[in-house]
Amino acid sequence: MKYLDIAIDYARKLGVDYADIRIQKSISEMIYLENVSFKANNLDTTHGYGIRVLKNGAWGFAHSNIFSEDAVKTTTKKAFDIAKQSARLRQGKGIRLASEKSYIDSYTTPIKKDPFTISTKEKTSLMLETSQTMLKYTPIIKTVIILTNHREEKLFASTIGTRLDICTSFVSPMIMAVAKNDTDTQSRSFNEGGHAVGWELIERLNLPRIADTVAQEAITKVNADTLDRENRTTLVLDPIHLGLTMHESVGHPTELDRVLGWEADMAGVSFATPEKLGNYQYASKIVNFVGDNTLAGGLATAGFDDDGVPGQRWFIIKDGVLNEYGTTRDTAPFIDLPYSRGCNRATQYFDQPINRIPNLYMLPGTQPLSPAELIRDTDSGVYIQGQGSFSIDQHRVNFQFGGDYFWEIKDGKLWRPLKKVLYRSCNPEFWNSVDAICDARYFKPFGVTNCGKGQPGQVGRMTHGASTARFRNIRVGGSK
Amino acid sequence: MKARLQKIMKFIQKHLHADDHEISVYYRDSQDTRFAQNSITQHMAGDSIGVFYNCIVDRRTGSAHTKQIDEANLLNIIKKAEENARENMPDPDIASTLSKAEYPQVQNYASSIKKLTTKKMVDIVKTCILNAKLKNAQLSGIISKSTNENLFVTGQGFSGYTYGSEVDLSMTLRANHIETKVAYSHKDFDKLHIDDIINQLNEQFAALHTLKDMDFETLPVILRPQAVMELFSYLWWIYNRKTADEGLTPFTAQIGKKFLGEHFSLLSTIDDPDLKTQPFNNICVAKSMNWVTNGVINDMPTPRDWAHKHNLTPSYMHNMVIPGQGISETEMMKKVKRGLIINNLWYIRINDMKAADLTGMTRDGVLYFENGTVKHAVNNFRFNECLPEMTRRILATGKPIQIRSNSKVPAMLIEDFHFVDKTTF
Repeated sequence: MKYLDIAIDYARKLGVDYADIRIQKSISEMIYLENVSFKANNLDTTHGYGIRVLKNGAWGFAHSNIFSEDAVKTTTKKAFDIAKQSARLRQGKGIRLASEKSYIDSYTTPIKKDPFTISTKEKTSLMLETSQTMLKYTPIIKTVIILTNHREEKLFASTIGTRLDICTSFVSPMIMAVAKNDTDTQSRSFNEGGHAVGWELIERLNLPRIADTVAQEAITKVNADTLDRENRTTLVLDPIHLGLTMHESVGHPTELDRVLGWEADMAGVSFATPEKLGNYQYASKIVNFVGDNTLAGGLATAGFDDDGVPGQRWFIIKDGVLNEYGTTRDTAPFIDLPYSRGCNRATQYFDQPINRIPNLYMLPGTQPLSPAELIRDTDSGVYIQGQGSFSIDQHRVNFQFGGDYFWEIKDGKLWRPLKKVLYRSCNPEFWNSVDAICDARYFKPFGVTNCGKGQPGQVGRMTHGASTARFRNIRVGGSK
Repeated sequence: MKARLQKIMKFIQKHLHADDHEISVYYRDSQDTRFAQNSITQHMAGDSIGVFYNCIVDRRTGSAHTKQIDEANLLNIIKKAEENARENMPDPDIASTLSKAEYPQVQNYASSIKKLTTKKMVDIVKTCILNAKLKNAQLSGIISKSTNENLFVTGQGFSGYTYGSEVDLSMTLRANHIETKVAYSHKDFDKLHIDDIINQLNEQFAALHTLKDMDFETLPVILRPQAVMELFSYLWWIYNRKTADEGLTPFTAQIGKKFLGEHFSLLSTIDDPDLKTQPFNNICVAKSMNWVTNGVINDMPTPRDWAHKHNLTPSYMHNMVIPGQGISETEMMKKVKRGLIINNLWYIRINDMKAADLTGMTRDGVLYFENGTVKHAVNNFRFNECLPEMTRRILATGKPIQIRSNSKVPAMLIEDFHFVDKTTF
């Protein structure tokens, strides 16, 4: 693409310290079905480029969707001028970049069946059948099915000589049923997030069969009991639920930009400050969290990040101890790290990339253990599946989570269904209370497609994963 | 730019083949200067044109959006949207698009935005950072400016054009245990008084120097306007005729009833010259609405398809005003024996939709008061509150303040606010 060369050559001529250009085309299809009414069947295409210039220790970023030599040069100059103005307020040496090699490379998400080649008719017929499966149950008053297919094509070039050609894709199905009784309405969902695979996922899932279970569980839930009083008890949390808890209480606190205070005004900061690296008992000794932007099927697996840093695998929490952060080329030097872990990603061409959570997962337990065995081994407690309400303070210490489907555990058995369960905990209490993790056979990923961060807001994507795990002595109660 | 948008619009109109349609051609130009730790960390600028095309073919819907504006791609998105519609299932709830209608000629644009050059934005940040340095504090935040234009037409003859401007300034000042924030937005840069905002930040900062640990309990609170804005913004999500009629929220069958508190009213207006309002969208044209009057629910925003299906009048919350009694914070403190003053709330989420039960945290400074006097700052807390029931515990309200370009809300004194947890900071 000639515009890569135009931008980089012109940036060099202007005298930048570093520059890159990212030409990005994002194509997203979203079909939204409510009961039997298709509320949206939308194809979204954005195509443009963002140019990032580092000059005198400050960033300038400009974007455009006009593809011409003049426009590319004008945009490059705009980024350059902005950087020079920003450098007036530089502190010390300002922004520096961790060293990185140059690469000429490409990456494509391995998919078997391109979802964009599947006809709308096939997709909508499947969705309608899925919805009707749930609507046959009288207490089900509302269903929602959302199918999202996404493809992203990026061309990247930088002044250190990197040239990348990247194409990533994901599919994301979501099913929800709302059940009603005389006094209440409650929903139950199937939502495992996005997966960096093709239409083969949808074929494998059998959505109508899943929907039937979702509907039955929604009915069970609306008629379930509530927990009125808060008590300290045991929680058994399924992988989809854990995907959200680790995202909020481990993923965000270990983004280095938050640690540095760069997000203090909006998303907040982090309690996991650098002096804790290598000595802070973030979790119990059986807990290991891995950052892994090479994970097959992972939404942050793209070969390289938007700094041109290759995907890597590293321990963020090792044997329960805070080990390392998710980093970018511009954050790593602030804690004297000589390298980046490749976590700089932008959502659209018009976004400046920011420090993002990598694919982040908890390693499975090393001893054979199934969720059924774990529940059998639990005298009393609550088993939570899926995701519900979530809220955490701006230091990522105190949090409250709900869930989607709940069972009270008594004498090692699922005793009675519950609804409106909430639990409250904090870091490091929560992850230090883990005393059992099921083995690798029960590991399940959850793909986040809507991680909000930054000003102006960007929506990031990454995959989490876990096997079902047990947490002891957590405050558990019910909402009103 | 309007002429360019019209040209794109005409091109799409010429090539479409749908029974009915909505087309939106829009332009946005923005610049955002982010700062943190007393330095600029990001600085972004750019503009773009985008097109939304929604079509109805034989009672089937399809749509496409693009930011790739060349004739070949525009033809492609028309084709894709119409193909999607043809291959779609018929929609039993479909409503025709908006008919020809007059819409309010609101002024959402102020030319003062032109003063806000790159240099000026950096100068403002510099002023704010110098203020922080005088306190040995670290400043983080953003100053943003944007202008936008939107041309919207439908197959039933509606045609509208709107344009606007927006300036946002948000700052968090941090030192040791102190962390406090102010954030304002306005369509008119001249009305975003930077010195006043810095002064407010300084006052909040100074008030937080003496911090004492406090356990959570149920007690009265004075929510300052920013906190009220954060909390009641959730009405945009849950205060809706469709979800109420479906039985999903507590507002089911409450129209005409005094379901909320006496001291709570809610309206949208097209008559306030300072407030931005969206004069039309694909639901209807904007008009002034008294959604709630002294606790009585008069109306709820109603989506177009729901209105069509149930013979209702469509409406939307194009801006938000919560009227107030003009009672000062000092007077509010005297109305209760003790309580908390809360600068801001954050990470509010719905625990239970049917009850409108929300959770969230305090943020940016909490002050403890007793016998009409502020005693000291305290740590942050978590709350769980059912919004409708909470409005019945509003004891007093202040003078509405414009926090965002489209919202004015007052401070509120609320009895028995349900805190359920505390933080370590």
